[in-house]
Amino acid sequence: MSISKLFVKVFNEDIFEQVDQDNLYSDLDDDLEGANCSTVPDPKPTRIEDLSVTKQMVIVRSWLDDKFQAIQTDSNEEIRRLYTETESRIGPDLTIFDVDYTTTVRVSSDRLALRSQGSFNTVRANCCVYGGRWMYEIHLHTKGVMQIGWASNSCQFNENSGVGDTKCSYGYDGSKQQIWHISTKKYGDKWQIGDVIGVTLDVEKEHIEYFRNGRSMGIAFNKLEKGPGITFFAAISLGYTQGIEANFGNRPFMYPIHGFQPLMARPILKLRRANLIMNYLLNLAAIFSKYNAQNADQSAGLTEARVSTKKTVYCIFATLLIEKFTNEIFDPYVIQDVLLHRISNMTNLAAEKENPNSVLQGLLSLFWNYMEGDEVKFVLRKLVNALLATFTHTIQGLDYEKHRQALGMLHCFCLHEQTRKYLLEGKLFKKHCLAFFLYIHPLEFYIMEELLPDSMAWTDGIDGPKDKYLSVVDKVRKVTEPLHSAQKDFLSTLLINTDGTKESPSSRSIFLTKMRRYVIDLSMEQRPFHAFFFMQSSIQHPLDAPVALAFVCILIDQARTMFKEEMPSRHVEVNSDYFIDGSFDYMHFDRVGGVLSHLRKVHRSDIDQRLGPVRTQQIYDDDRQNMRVNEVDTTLYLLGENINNVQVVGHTQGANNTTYTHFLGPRPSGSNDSSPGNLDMEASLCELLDLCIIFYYSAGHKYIVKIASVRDEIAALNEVLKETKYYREDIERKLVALEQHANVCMNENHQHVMGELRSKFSQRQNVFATRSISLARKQVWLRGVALNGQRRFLLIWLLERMLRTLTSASNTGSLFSFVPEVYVNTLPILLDAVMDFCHHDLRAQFEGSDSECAVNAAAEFLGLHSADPRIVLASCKDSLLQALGTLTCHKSGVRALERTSKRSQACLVRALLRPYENRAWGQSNWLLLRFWMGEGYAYKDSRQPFVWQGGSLPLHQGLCRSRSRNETHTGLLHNIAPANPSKHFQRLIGAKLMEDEPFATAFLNSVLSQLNWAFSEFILLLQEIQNTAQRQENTLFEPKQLKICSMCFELTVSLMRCLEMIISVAPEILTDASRPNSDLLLNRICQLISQVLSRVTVPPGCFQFVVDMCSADLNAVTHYPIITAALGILLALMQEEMDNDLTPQIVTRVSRAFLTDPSFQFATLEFALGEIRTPLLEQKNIPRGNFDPSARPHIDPLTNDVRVPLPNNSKRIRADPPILKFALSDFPSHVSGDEIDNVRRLIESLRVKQTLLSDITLPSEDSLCPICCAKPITAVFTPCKHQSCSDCIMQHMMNSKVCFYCKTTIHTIETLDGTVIYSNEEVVQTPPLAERI
Amino acid sequence: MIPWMRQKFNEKRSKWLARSKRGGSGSPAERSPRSSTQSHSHRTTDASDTESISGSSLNVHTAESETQTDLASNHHSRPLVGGGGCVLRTPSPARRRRIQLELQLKRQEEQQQQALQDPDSPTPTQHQQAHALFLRKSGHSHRNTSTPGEGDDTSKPGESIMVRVICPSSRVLIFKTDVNKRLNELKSEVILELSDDPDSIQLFAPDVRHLNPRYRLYRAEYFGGELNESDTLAALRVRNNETFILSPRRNTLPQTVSRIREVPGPNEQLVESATRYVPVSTNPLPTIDINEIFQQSNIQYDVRKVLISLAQASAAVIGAGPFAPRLIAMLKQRLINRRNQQADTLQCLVDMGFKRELAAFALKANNGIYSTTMEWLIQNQNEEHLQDLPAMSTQHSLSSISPSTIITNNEVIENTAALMEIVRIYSHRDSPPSDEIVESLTEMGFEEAAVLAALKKTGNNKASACEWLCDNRSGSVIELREGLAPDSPILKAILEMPQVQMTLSNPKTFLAFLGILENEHAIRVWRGDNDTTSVITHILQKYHEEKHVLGINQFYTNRW
Repeated sequence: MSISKLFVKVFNEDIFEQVDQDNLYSDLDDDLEGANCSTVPDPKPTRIEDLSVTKQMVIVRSWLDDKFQAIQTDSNEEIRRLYTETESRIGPDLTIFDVDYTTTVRVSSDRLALRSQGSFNTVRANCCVYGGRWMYEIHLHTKGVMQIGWASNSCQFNENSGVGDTKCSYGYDGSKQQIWHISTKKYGDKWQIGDVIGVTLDVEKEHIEYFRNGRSMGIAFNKLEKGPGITFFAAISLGYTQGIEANFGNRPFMYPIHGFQPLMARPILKLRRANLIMNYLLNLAAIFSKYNAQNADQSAGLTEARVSTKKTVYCIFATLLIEKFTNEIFDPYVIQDVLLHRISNMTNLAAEKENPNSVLQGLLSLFWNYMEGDEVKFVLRKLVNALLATFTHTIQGLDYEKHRQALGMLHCFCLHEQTRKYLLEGKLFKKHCLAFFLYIHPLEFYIMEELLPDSMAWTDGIDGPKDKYLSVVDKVRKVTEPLHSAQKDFLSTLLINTDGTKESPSSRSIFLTKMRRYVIDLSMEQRPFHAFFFMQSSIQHPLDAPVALAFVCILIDQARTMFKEEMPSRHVEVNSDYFIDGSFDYMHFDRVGGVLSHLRKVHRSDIDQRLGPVRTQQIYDDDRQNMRVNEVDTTLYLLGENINNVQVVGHTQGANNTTYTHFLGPRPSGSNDSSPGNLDMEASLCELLDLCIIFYYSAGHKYIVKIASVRDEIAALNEVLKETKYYREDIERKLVALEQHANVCMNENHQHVMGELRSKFSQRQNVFATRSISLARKQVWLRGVALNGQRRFLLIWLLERMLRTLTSASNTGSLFSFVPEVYVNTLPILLDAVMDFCHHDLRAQFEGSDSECAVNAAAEFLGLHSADPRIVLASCKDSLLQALGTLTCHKSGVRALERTSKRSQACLVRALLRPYENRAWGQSNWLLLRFWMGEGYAYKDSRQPFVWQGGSLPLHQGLCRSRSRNETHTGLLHNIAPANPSKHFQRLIGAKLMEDEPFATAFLNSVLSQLNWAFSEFILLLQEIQNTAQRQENTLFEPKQLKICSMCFELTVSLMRCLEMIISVAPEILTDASRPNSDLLLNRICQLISQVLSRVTVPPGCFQFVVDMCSADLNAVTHYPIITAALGILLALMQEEMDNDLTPQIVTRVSRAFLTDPSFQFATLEFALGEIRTPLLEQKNIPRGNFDPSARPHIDPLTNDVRVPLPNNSKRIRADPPILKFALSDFPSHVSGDEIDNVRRLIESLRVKQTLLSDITLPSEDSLCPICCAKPITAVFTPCKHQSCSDCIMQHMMNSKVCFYCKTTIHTIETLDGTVIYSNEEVVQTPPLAERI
Repeated sequence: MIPWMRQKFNEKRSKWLARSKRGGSGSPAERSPRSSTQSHSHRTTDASDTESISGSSLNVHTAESETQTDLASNHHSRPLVGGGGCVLRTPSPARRRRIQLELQLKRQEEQQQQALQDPDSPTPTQHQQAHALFLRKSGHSHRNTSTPGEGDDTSKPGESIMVRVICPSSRVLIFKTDVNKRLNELKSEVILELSDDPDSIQLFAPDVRHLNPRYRLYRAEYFGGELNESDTLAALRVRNNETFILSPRRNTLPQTVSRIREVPGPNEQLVESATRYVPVSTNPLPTIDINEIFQQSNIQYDVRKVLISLAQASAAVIGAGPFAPRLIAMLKQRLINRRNQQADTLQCLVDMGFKRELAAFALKANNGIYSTTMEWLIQNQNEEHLQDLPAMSTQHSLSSISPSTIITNNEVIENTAALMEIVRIYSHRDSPPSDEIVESLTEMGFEEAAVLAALKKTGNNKASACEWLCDNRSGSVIELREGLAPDSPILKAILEMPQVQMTLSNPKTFLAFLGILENEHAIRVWRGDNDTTSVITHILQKYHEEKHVLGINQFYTNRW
């Protein structure tokens, strides 16, 4: 085939026809001179085909040069015009930000994207204008405080003043919706992430105008400062962590405004030339791809390739064109305008996917082959950037068309193997690029408003049309669906696993390696020093929470699909071998059993058994090697050696961006590079699942919490709206009544006050309604897209798979310790998400049923492992408790726990009833209470009533907050969920305590000790507060002190409730006199209740004082919880007696113990009813004991601490009468009438019994036990012969083996009549002294 | 050439080579020519050429001069084949000689390297490692060459294939090469071949090998990305008759990228000179410092007013709610207690023998704290400068804060009114001014009584009192006990925040407001409380925002 025909094919013209004969001759001369190619120089070549290729190429070359020349002459006119138009511009041709290194702004390498790291930074462009009409665009990456506009170069900016705060500058801030020119006024719309703000300046007309997404917001300024020395720089001020990307004309404008010049001139010449070459290149690409197709058709075994002149000529053309092309293309403007534009015109994704030899593929291959590596990478990066800019731009319509197109194009690029691998390797995981492509931007505010007008908004409070509202939700979901499925397709393209070769890893392999690194870096945020890590790691700023959630969900979806498609027969779980053999690198995450290296040492033989000796040896060898690498790595870092050294030693990551992110946590050298070849199917799927879990833990959960808090706010608004409506109507009614009776009560003032009130309440209502509507609008998106049913389903799926993994890992025996901590730590948050946060209606959360399977599995697992000794890490233990807490907060969770296997339940009960010493018991106590709450005395609701809740009308109990609000999982404090008592577990607990006497005693003893500690601590703090408050009226307290005080109070109450439950479910522990420790425990409990009651009730006391203060942080400290808890214990003790009191004349053990307690007084019980009938006993009449204040005036009876005497002579000042009076009947919402009656009956029956106890004799002081000063001495210790009452010493013996007084080891204790009640076996066994002699 | 000159030349060259190797990233490119020569030599022997390797060492001395002549004779020795401009190449004697030169050089270089491995050498570990790595590799290949019969495939001469290379000048050369040759070597060969073709190789270098990194050899048919040049052709799976392209490396991209690094904006002179003739049109605007605005207005004073207004709003809301009766009773009792306590304390002091008026004043001055009052009284009892005290104390008579004004019958209106009264009592707090302020104002020359009166009017605000004394009794001085005007923009903005409105019905917020009104420092405590923290933060934040706007705008009304 002749070259001219080929030429026509590529260049669409036939120049060889036109070539002059003269030219030919002169060419021939050159040819002779060159003498390169022709075999025999032909003196007279008459036909063009006879010329040598070289010769012909010279012609082509010069023809192309001519073309270029022609373009230049054509454009001259335009360029000249442009030049005159841009006359009043000063500055270099290339317009970028003029970044001063003193500011704390992070700048991209092209000097166009900014992210502020300081408080208020101002950055200017490097060119200014003083005449003409100009514009630039700002693409918002965040939506915080920024001031965009123009500034003169005389303006001085600092932390307080930015663009617009000085005389010659003008700024617009869309977060505050204000414009600034020293003074300020409201202007424009509120901006959203992804908006493109256009800024125009017309110097002659003195206009500055802003455009949001191409829509004018009106002229902002119409008078400008002008004069010599005043010019206009494009300038922007950024608040903390705000980021933007500017376009001064560096790329085509998203919304060009007619008549305004970009600050940087359009590269006209380059554009035209590039366009021309692009035509030819596309032709060429088409031909190449056709070739490829043909080659593919023919058998692959084409060993003896034909030498084709045609192909050679095409190759030469390609070299030539690319050479020209590279002169023009390295300009983002050209790339976007020419390359992207042309590609987008021809891209048809559907056809593209079918045809592996399409033009685009050909073009990409052409680029990859003929351009140098760096060049093609540069072009690709810019292309992706341009696509990303389109993709992250706020949506302008309901169709997401542009977004889909952009993604489609990226998808097409990624169909090309080489391109895909490069993008995975070098682009998609940088600056969250991939995450953004997998995120769908919320609808623009105006569109949302149009879609959901105020009249259609629905919440319980504003009460709109619910079905219409839900249909809008559905519509929004449908709108995003095509884009979502495109994203899924895209992701599956990235995860292709068949393109690995001997030398290069498959795409999936690259993806997983990069993804792991990315996810682990993201999790750094949660670690201490994360700021430092951010500086070092590949992630320069944290990933936005919504983006992270979208990413994680789509990844889970992908994992699910892949499991289904690729391994349909396999159980979906992570093979626990991978935890052991180090295939997955968890960097800084520890394992549940501790640190990996330690576990490897300890469990060597187990590993051997499981993986086989060969594999094990390999692991240990790897370990040793890694250790060495890491040693060098760290020392190098510490020595401050340069980066290249590290590379040589072991890091293969690349010299330019070796990071030290992980120098503290070991990183095996090999893991940075993906190994070549395709990945093992199973391992890759497991890894993907594993990544989902880590990702969810490190970044995914955050946004779910936020979504839930929107729901909570709506619920709170609903409450308050209803209330406001009610009061408003009430006032209206009263106003009408007032008007009707105008004659009767002519009270002007009243009417005025009422009118005022009415306006106040309607204002309130308005404020709440507006907020509700805006939240409802926000929730449309959340319900429809951000956390829709599909995503909820995925989270449930993830939870199930994770539990399955954990369960099967648990079956590996001691190797369970290798499970990474994330797996356990994700449990509580994922459970929270599934059971609570995913529901957009607060009410729905307590009866979700779709997650039943997962919740059951969770209950089973948590029950079995609640006290698993293999779990060593404190954070994991805590996580388990928190997860159990989540379960018990929901009815479905409690039911799930009840349905678990017997073994699991037994484990759980045993774990919860371990003694409260040497462990974090606060939360497990709270868990116990969850089984009880709702059944205890006046214990219906987890929330305590308010102090000021007086009177008889029952207060409407508001919503139950979810725990999203405080985000923390402090078990004790999250009294938020409604009561879900579990009879089943109460029974189990009772049975357990009954059957195992020592166990029960140990547990009760620990509960009582902790209770004693908490209450004394509390009283001490109260006294301190009272002392300071009395000394100085306006003293302020340390908030911390108040918080601790409140905490101690809550601990006290919860421990008392725990006691109440135990007495109720297993009363025999105390009432059965035959049980060895029942007396002791009973006495202690009675003593405790009496003490608590007398402390809390007898006025005036520090408790009353503090309650009256109504101080901040102390609102939990009120009478109600503690009095009801004490009454609850008392009633539980007396339950049997009162229920079937057949012989009221007999004083039982329980009532005797209580009545004979030294600090018992009837007044303390009557206080609860609000009516103290029995006068307090005079001090001297109170039985003496440790509570006799007169005996030890400076010693606090409870804590035995020396009290600080009041500094001033306070006797002269009368004690204040109590302010807040307490009565159970004031809290009808919390206490029923029956319950109050029970107290009355209790008092009555005790009174009867007291009269029967006339035989009580007060012992003399000498015969009192010196420890308690209350009971007679009944026991003598050997060998030291010290004495005390038996209760005191037995209690002491529970914790110690030495004498209370002299610390000698006690051998035996005898009662006065010689019965041995205790003998220390260890001591007794040693032969007596006498025998030895 | 004179022998010593030659020696020097060789030394220089090997030094250069060593240096360029140290350059790091370029190491594969550097390494390859060496191995290429090796394989070259191999090929020559394999092709059973007449010249043996042993002879090569002798030829080295004349190699330099011979290349010169070689260039001249090239024309004649090149066999030209084919009408399509294709040339089939077999190694020419000149080239062979050149190859041998390279071999020689390489050996010298190695010696040099060995010398460098001196333990005293200052080269960092990294260099040594790299070097060691290199040595191992080359040693490895040495071993292979010495025992060509056994084992390694790469060293064995494989089958030879034909390769076509398209040159920059569009010429096509055909090479017959060994499949075990590295791509890099092939490139060197091509470059060597073209070194006299000015259309193809436009660069000059003293040694052709220097050109190697400046050119790129790639396959015409796509096989994905840049080829690893140190791979052998066999490893790259090059087929017979496959086409390669040689092209110079471009540097357009680095140029573009480096252009972006620093482009400073125009300097002042440039701007000045360009805008010389722009007509002046400025708006007379006083430049003001934002910080000054904030200094001028007393924030504490303002916040207090905001709080009073909010407390009133809260009172109205709570008054209608279920908590009102209890809350009113509680606050009333509290006030009564306080009054009683103060009366007791006063009585106690009087009993001690202090004058009642003096004691009352002292008590007031010390915030009713017994102990400090005592101290104050003991210090001041003999001083007679407190003559005008009675006048003061009547002003502060307790009657104005009597709790008896709080009456309620549990009607909404009455509840509200009662709560409003409570707010009034709490906001009506006039503690005597501190001595320093009084002193500083009297030092200015004002009479003390006037100073005290002014301070009382302005709520102990020194600046405002000063204004007041200077007869500037404008609207800026408002009675402190009243809140903001209902149409005040700050108040409006704050009341429009749902977070604030929501908490107004919480009695705790009300108590917090009262607490802060009573004692500014209480704000710290209430900010720590779970229930009130957000509302107080929001209020302060909004206040500052609005205040900023107002503060700025007050100077320029109606500018637009």
